[in-house]
Amino acid sequence: MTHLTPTTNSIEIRRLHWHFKKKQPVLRGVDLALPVGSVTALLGKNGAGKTTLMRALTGGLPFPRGTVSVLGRDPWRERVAVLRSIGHVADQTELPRWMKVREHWDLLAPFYPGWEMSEARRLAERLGVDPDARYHDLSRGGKELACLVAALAHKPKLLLLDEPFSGLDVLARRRVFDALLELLREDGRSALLASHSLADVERCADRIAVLHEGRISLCGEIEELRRGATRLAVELEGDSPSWTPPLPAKVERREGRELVLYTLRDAESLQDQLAHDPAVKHVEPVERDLEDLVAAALGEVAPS
Amino acid sequence: MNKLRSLLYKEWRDQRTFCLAALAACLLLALGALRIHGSALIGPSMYVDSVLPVSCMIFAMLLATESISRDAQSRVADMLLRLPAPRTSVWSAKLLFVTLAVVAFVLLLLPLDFLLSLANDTGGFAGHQVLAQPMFWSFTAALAAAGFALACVLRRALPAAIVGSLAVAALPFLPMAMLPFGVAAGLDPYRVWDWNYVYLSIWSPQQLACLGLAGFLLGSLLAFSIRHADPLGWRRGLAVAGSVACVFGLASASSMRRALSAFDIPFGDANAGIEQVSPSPDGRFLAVQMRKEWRVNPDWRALVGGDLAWMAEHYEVWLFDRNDSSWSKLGGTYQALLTRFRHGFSQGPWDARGRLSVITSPSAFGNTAGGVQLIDPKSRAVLLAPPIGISMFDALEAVSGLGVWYTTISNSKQSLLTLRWKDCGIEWAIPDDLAFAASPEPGVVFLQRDHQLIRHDMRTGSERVLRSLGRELIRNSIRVSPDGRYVSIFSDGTTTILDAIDGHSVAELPNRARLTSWSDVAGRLCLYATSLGGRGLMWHALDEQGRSTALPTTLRDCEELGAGRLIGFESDRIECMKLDGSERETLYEAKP
Repeated sequence: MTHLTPTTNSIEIRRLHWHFKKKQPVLRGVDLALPVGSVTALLGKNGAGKTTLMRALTGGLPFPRGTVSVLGRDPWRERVAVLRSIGHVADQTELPRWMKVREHWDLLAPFYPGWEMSEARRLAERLGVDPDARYHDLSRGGKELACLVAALAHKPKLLLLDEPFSGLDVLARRRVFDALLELLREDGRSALLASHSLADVERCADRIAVLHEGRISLCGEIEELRRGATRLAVELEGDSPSWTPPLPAKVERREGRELVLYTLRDAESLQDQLAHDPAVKHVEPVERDLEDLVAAALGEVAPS
Repeated sequence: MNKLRSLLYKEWRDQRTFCLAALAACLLLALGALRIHGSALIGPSMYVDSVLPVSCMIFAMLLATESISRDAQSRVADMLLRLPAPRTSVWSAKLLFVTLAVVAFVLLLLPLDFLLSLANDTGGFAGHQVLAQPMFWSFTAALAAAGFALACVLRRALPAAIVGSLAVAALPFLPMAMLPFGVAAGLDPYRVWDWNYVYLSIWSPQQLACLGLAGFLLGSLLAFSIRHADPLGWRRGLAVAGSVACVFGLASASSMRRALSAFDIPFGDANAGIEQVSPSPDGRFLAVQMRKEWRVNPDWRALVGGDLAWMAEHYEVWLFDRNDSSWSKLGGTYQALLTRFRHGFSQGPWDARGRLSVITSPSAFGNTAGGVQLIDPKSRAVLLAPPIGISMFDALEAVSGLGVWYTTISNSKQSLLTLRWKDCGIEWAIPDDLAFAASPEPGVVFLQRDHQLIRHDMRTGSERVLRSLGRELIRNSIRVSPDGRYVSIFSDGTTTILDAIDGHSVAELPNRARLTSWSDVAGRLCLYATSLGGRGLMWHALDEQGRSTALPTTLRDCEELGAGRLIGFESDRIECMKLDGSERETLYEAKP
C-alpha cells in the first residue's frame, strides 16, 4: 500500500472490510481519517466493531479488503514499527499478580526504543501512581492510570484508547480525564478514543466518528456537526396527516399538529423552506446536543 | 537480547514457585529412595532409571502447560501479544524458558543421580549401544497416535480419527524400517522388546492404568483450555495425544529402558550367581556364565493369568583376561556358554583354536528365537553366527566343528532312537531308554545290554563286551572322555573308569565321589569331588596310574587352569591358586 503522509493524518482507513465468517461481516467499508493533533472519539453500539477496528489499527487483524495506515505505516505488515510508535490502552489490561508498576515498566522498556524511565517517573508522579505498588493491588482507577503512564512513557505520537475508563467512578474518571487531556494538549498528540460515554467524549474529544452497521455513518468535528445538525419544532396549520417534511429532514415525533423534525445538514435552508410552506403555521429550532447527533447517526430517533 | 531477558524474567517470576516445589518434591523422593534402599520397595537404581526421567518429563509438560494456560486464562497473554515484538518471540521465550528450566532441573538433580548411583554401585561395564531410540520413539509415537485417535473419536472427528488409527497401525513398523540403518551404524541389533519386560517392570498394571488415566485427564484439561475454534477437534486431539504419550508412554518407556539395558548384571551384583567358569585352552581367558533371577510382578500375573511364569532367568557371559586382570562382558542381551553333554559326549565352550561358543538371544530372558555365536575372546567380535533357528546341535557343528559325527532321530511311537552316522549314512536303532554313550571316535557307541557294558562299532556291526555289570545302569551313567580313550560308568554310588578299548579298570573313585570333568592335562585323567558334609567339597585330581591328589579348594566347583593351577568357584566368588595352594588370589567376589 502507499504510505500516507503522517503530517496530514495520523490514521487513515479506506474501505476497510473484515468479517468473522463470510456471513457475519463486521466492517463493511470503513472510511476514516484522523488528523494529526486531533482527539477523535469512536462511537457505536455494542458489537458495532469498535474493538475490531482498534485491533486492525494495532496490527492484530489481517483485513481482506481495504487499506489502513497508522502514522504512515501498514499495521499488519509493519506491526512492530507501528506498535513502537503508538500508545495503546486496552479496555482491561491484566498483569501477573506479582508485578509491580515499576516491574511493568522494566518489562516494557526494552521493547520501546523511545522509552524513558525518567518520563515514566514524571508521569507517575503527576498522575499519582506509586511505582512500587503491586499492580494487582491497585484500584480500578489506579490500574487505568498505571496503564496510561505505561502507554505514554515512550512518548508515542498516537494514543489508542479502547473504552479505557468504562469502569471508573465519577471522581476517578474526572481525575484520569483531566490528566489525559492535559498530557494530550501539552505534546500535541493524536488520540483515538473508543467509548460509550458521551460525557467523556464531550469532555476530551474534538472530533467524533460513529460506526454503524460496519461503516462510519458520521464523522467530523463536534462543534461543526452541532452547527450542522438541527431539531425543529413545527406546528401545522391544520390536521394534515399526509404532510411530510422536505428532505433531508426526518420526523422524530408527531403529536397532532405538532411535530419535531431533525436533520444533520442544511438546517438553515430547511428552516427557511418550512417557513414558506403554507401548511406550516410555525417553525423554530430546539436545543441541539451530541446525543441527538449520535442517535441520528445510529439510525435511531433521539429521545425527546 | 534485553527483550528476551525481560520475557524470561517474567516467566521465571511466574513459575518459580512451581519450579522450586517440583525440585523439592524430587529431592524428597530421592531422600526417600535412599532411606528405604534395601527394603525392596524402591532401590536407587530404580529411582535413577525411572523416577527421575519421568519426573523430568512430567515437570516439562506441566511447566509448558502452566506457562501458556496461566497467561491465556488471566489475559496476561493479551498484554504480551500487544508488545512491539513478533508474536513468535513471545512464544519462543516461553519455549526457551521451559527448555532452560528443564535443563536446570536435570542439572540440579544430576549430582543426586550420581550419589544414588554410587549408593547402588552399578559400575563395572560400559553400556551397550543398542537400537533403543527407534523403538522408544515408535512406541511413544504409537501411544500418541492412539490417544489422538481416541480423542478424535470422542470428538466425532472421523477423518482425524482415521488418520490417528492408521498411524497406530503404521508406527510399529518404524523400528523394522530403521533397523538396517542402526546395524549399519554399528549398533547392536540383538535386543528386542517382549512382554516379559512389562511384567517385570516396577509398574504394576494398576499404576500404569492410573498414569494413563492421569495423562488422559491432563490432556483433556489442556484440550478444553484451548479457546480457539477447533471444528474438527484436531487441536484437542493433539493435546490429549501429547499428554497421554508423555505420561503413559514414559512410564512404559521405563519398562522398555529396563528391557534394553537394566536387566544387565552389574559387576559384583550380589543377586547374580556364577553358574560356570571355563578357562580357555591357553589359560589366558576365563569365560564366566552369570545368572540372575527376576521375579514377575504378581499383579501382572493376576492380570495375565497363571500361564505367566513367576520367574525369569537372565544369563550373561563375562570374560576375564588374566594378562591384564580385566573383566569385560560379551555383547548381546542374553548369552550363555555353549557346553554340550549328550549321550555321554561332553564338550566345553572353547574350541581348540581358543574361540568361544555361546548361545545368544535378542531378548533378556532367552525366550525369543536365539542362536549360536563363535566369539574371538581378544576382540570379542562375533566370528561366526549361524542363522537363528537351526538346532543347537547343528549350530554347534557349524561354529566349531566339534566332530559330532552323528545325528539322532527319535521315534516316540516305537520308543526307538536312531543314530545316523552322517558321513557314512549308516543308521542304527536302539531303544530310547537304553543307557548309552557315543564316543568321539566316529561309529563307536558304548551301551549296556543284558547287564553288560558293550562297545558297538557301527562300521562293522561288531560288538565287544567290556565289563559285566551287577545291575542295570541308568541313563546318562556312561560317559566317554573327550579323547575317546576312557569310559566311566556310575553304578551303586561308585564311579569306575575303564579303558575304552579292552575294558580293563583304570581307576575306581571312592564311594559317592562325583566325577566332574575329564582332564586336559597330559597324564591326568579327571577331577572328582567328595563331600565334606556341610563344609563344602574335597577336590581331587586323578592321574592315569590311578593315583589321587587332593586339591586345595573346598568351593562348589573346580576347573583346571593348565597343569599347575586351579580355578575354584562358587556362586559369588572365583579363586585361582597353584595346586599346592600357594599364590591364592580372588579373581571375583560379589559385593555384599
